[in-house]
Amino acid sequence: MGKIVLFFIFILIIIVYPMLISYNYKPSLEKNIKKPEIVIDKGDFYIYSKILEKKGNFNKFYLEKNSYIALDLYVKDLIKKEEYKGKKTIFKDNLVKAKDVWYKNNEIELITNNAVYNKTKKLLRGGKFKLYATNFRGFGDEFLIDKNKKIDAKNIIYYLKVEE
Amino acid sequence: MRWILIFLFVYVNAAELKIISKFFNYDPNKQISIFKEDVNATKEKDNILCDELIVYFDKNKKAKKIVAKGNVRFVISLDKNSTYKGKSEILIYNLEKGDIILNKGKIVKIETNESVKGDKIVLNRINKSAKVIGDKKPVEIIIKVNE
Repeated sequence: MGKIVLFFIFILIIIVYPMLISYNYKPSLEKNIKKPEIVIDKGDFYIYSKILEKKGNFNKFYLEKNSYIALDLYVKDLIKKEEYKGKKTIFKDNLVKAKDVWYKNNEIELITNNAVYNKTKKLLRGGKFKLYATNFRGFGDEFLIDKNKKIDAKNIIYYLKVEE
Repeated sequence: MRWILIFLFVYVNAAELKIISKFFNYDPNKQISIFKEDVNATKEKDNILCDELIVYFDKNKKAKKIVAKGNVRFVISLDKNSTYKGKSEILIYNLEKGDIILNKGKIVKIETNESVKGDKIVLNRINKSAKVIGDKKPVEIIIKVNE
């Protein structure tokens, strides 16, 4: 008899428990809506990572073989405070190759015909370049910019502004 | 109008130092530019040749000091009658004070052919003077420059 009573109590707990749990439950629409990571609207795009991280625009964006190609791409990185323009930008694996590039950070502006960005190593390298900063400008054969914005270059001609 | 005049004043008073080298490095965190191998720096009549040259910037990103190291050879003109040619181990140019400090250097004044050798020679662009400071003896030779 006791076993039967215990069995019914057990069944009762199983039935009542979910009802007790759901008593304070208030369904929230906001929590269920996941914000999109990328929004593309008529050539303008916005990339979010909780907040708006990057924005920009392009003339054309298409897939060719295993690469994504963007023509006349402009990107503004609001976190890193960097800007980029490229006539033709090719995204393949961890590399971004670009032609006719203009790049700007809070220290310098750089113009080059060819550049490659390694997303893993966070290195931007390229060929002949023109470099502009507040108090100097330079022209060289090769350059490399690392994640700390340090610049290495070869065969540079550099003009430093000095006050008389 | 006032801004145009300010711009013209700054532009007229600013000149450019041209530096050529094989290798270049710019570190925005340390605010320095480093030039290595076959470094050739020129500004009007002035010329510095060396193995390594470092430009230090202040917090406003203005050049404040230039240091040349390794086989330093130079021609420095203080005015039209005072041009110095020489060699030193290290050359330090303090842009704010106008001091050019030559460590273990030798200079020849081209106009008079006077030559001076010392552990520390100081040329000054502002008062147009050249001082030689001895390391052990308190020797100081001043070459006066006629205006």
